[in-house]
Amino acid sequence: MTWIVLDLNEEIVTGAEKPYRVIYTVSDASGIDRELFVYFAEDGRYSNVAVSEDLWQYPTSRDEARRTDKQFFRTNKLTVDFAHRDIAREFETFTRGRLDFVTRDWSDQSSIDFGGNTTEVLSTES
Amino acid sequence: MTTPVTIRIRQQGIVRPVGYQATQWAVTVPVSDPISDPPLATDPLSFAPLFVIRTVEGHENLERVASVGDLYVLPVAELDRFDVVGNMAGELFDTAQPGDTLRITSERPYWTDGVAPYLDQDFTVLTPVVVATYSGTTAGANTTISVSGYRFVDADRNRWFKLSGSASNDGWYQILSGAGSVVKVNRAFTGVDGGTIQFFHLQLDPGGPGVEPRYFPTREQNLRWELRRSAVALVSNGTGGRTLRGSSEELVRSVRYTAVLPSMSDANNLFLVSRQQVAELQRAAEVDDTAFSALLTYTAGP
Repeated sequence: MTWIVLDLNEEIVTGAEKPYRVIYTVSDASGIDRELFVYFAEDGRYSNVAVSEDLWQYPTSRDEARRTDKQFFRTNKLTVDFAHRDIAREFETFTRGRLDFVTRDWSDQSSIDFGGNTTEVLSTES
Repeated sequence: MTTPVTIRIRQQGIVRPVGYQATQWAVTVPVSDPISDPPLATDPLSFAPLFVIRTVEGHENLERVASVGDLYVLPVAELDRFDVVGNMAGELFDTAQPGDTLRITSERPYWTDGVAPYLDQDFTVLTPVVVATYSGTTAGANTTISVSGYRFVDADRNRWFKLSGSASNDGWYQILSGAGSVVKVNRAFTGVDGGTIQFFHLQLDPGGPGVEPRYFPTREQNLRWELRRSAVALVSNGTGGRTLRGSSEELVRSVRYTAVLPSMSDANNLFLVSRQQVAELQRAAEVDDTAFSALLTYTAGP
């Protein structure tokens, strides 16, 4: 079974230009990496909730992404600020949907057995 | 002769469970209240889109009632577009036809005000429109595509585009992020490929002549929706609907503006300021075109 524990923290930063702060943390997971938030390696900017291909391709630290010449890296935490509450709410809804999608998609992909040694006898005799 | 200009607006205040709704619109069809002979609407009609709206980061505010100069400079863009950053975008844009009904199933109490045509949350589809076309090239079996002539902006995050004309990757893709002309999408391409990329909006039918035009009352995010035809839901459980305008300009003009304000005095002040500015516009718009001078000299100052 594949699951994640997702913590959402909403904060209002008084006086800030974008006062509505959304903090997501994948605090626990089973059957899938906790590092589900993808960032640009070049400038550390947030990119997206991982898709399954990201889990295969991108490392879980920026240093490793730079060392291996990868464009992205992954972490388990995301902080984004918004100017308006409704935009923040839309972002939350979308992000939860993407996390749900990647959890299910990864579970589907990883449940397909692949690997190990098999010996089969093929013959013209049926 | 002097060209008469009559600007007639209506202002409707409604107390909502959360906040005070202030809706104002320039009347565009003849009305009979208060009594007038003949019953007047805004005349000439070109003065009707008089509310100047400022849009910043997907959020709108009433900037002012238009000046005469605004009427010439600022584009008219009503809230008649719908985009989807959630589920079922491709199904919506591929299925929708003129005359279909877009039903917004998220409750927006301030969208219905008891005055036709704002009686429900059903809107008539005019057509899906292509708002931008590019060519795109995938680099390999990953989730990025290079889009010629395009530059990613944050407002495009989560938007869907349709890729067509490719060898093996045609379909709908959702933009998750981007940098410059390269965007990262929600699923992997199968290899090096290319094709045409199109972005869509759904455009509303505002209604025929002789009735007040119907638009989305407010700019909204995160709407649930469904597409219906002949009372049958063709596309259901749509999420992530957004209302928007057909112009990306920061300042545009509109015939209608609705705000939900935290206090009654805020709402009343908005009405008062708007009435004063409409009166200024009406005075400034009265022009005397009995003569046209080749050269006029005005002196201002001491």
